Amino acid sequence: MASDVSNLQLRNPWSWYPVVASADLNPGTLLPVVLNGEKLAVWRSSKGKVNAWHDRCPHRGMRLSFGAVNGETLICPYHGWTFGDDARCVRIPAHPNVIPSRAARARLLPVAEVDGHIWICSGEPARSEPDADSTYTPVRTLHLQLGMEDAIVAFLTLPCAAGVKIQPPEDVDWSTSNTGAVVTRSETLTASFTLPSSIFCETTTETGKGKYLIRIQPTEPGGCAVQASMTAGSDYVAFNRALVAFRAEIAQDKIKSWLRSAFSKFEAAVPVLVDGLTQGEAP
Amino acid sequence: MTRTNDQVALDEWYAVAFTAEIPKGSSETTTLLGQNLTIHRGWDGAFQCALSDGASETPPLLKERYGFVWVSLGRPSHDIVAIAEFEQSGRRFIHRGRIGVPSSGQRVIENFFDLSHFSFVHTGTLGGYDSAEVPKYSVEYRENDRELWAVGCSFVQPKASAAAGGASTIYYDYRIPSPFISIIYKDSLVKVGKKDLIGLFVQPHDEESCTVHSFALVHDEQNSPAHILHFYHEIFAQDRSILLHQRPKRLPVHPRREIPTISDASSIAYRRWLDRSGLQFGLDRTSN
Amino acid sequence: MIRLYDYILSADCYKVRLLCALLGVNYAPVKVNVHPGREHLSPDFVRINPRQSIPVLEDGERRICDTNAILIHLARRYDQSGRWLPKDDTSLDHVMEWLGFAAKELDLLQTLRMRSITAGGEPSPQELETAHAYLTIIEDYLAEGELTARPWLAGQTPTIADIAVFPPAALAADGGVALDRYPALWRWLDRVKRLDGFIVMPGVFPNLAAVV
Repeated sequence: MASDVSNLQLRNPWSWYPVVASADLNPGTLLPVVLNGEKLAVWRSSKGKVNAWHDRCPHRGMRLSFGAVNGETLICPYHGWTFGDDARCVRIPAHPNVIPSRAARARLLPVAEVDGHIWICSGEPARSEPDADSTYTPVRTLHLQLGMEDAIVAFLTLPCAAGVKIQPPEDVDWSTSNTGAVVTRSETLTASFTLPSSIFCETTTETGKGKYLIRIQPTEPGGCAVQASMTAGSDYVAFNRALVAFRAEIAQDKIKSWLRSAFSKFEAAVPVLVDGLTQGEAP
Repeated sequence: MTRTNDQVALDEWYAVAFTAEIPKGSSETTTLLGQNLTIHRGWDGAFQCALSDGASETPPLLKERYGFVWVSLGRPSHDIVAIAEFEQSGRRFIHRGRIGVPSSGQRVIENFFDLSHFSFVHTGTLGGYDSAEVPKYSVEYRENDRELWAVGCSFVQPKASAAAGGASTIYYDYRIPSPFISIIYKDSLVKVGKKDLIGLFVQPHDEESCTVHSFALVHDEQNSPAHILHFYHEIFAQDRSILLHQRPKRLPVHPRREIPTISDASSIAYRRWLDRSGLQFGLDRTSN
Repeated sequence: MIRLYDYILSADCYKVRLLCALLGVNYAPVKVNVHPGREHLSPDFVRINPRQSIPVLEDGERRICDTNAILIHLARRYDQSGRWLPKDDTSLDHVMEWLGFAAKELDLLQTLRMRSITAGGEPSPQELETAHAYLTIIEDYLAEGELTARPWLAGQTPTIADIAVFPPAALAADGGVALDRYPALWRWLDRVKRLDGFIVMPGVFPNLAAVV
């Protein structure tokens, strides 16, 4: 099914993907993130500026994510090389009076902070800003042992609701809206997928109605991270528990084989969709 | 696991075991350069090495030296590294124990003779944040260019050895007689004017993992072996936790791959020396 | 003076060293030659602890041969605040659950780590899957904690539960188990490192900003 990282992602290398909730990255902290097979160090300076760099010190290849944020700089834990927020090395402790060479710089990626999430683009962004939605509040970053497209199909067809056991629906109606969104409708779930990886979901189950937004972050082959959000005031704790249960349910063989057949419907509905282009344009 | 066909790597001697750890009448299996081996010790105490597979390959050579079993899968043009201090009296031999490292042997060696990480990786022992500056040292080639040396290295060390009482400036010479061996000659704090030795004999399993066999020859009659070992293990494990996160795991030798600074003179020389040697195993020779 | 049978690379010994540092308790280390000496397997050491393991703590007349029991003893005797080992039923339940989890499930992480250090090799796919399942349990719990203003494993303040779970989790990479999929766990590791009196061990990276 999903190839290298993901077929979808390979067609959309200039998309913005959310990787962590803003509230989950405090000033003066850093986090390792994997995006499109690349290890990144995402950090926030004391003054609040967010940075996303390749997780590799240009000196001897040590992972920067094991270092520390100090004010507006990031310090590598191997030799203490200190980098300013433009990714240039500003201090080499072994030679405190030497100005580091211009070649001594980390590789940075475009980063944006919009609507409660930190977004990263692996290449040249097609859109100046991520396609965010301020009506949703981030609830959880959940990693799955599932390819990105498999995860999209799972959320497009199976409801994630507290206390509800997953039952693959008898009938799922697949359609494409005139804006290019892939829409699914079944008894318990109505969902809408837009590029690069957003799924807006509304559930109707025996426990009531639910509404949530899922964005899938492509991490590495065979894996992805779910960035899950809900509208403000929802029961976040219940939804987090529902996500944990969802993760366990979709790992079952019978659900996995059902998802495989659903996947071919998804592929038929998403022939050549490329983020950042107007519907009808050649990619 | 496939045995390498890098003849430069094969034509070297490698420590593969500590003799005292293989009782008579028993054997140990291990891997060297991708080749699975069985080291057997007879009831008479003598060691033998057999290839686990590959009867068609050159029979391995085996020698005992310095308390270790050494094997070559090729035909080295030189003998096992000469360490004259083993013949001298006055120092205590410490077997530091083998440590597995999921990185190339050359990354391990390069870390061993690097000084500029002392203040950050070995804070409180080999270095401190407030004295991280690395004074100039020299790089030399000896033994007809077969050995690389970094001489006259020095550093302010809060606790330079298990025997150290307080901070002092310590002088080091580093010897790299082959790509996978390095020996430190370090000021002794017990016998002023004399040197202690710490050595690494790296046994590469494959290009991205190795076992490090390690010893010390120190002027220290006072401290217990456990006390001395804890000191060394703390330092080695701190290095190991860096080594396992370095990328790429193989040592890049192209000058533009990783950015050096002044105190990296020995590592620049080591990478250049490796590049010229024709060695492929464990190295990343790509240019970007 | 408390005596602690110790090995610098032992994660279980580090739990004791760490709690002592956080409580401001002094001890005299008795260094055991675990590797390569295997002193903990010797007849002399068996007389001290028939379980052939460290840490072992001697405090006056008492000799305690179990990591969790040592943590409980130190908290009961030396913690003026009473917060490291809470007394209320629910919090105590949680502390004991996590202590059990640290000793049983997380022992796999210790095994993988010591094997990797002393003998090399990678974890098997089965071991990796199990290790990640255990880390996921911690991640799920801490993620819920971030939604309910419960930043520590057993409540609002750190307890010996955090001390028992921190070392095996923080050192997982040493054994070939990566922590990149556990952002809530990563944030909790950072919180533990910022505790007043925190000390590192090899493999635990310090919060450099606090010291440089």
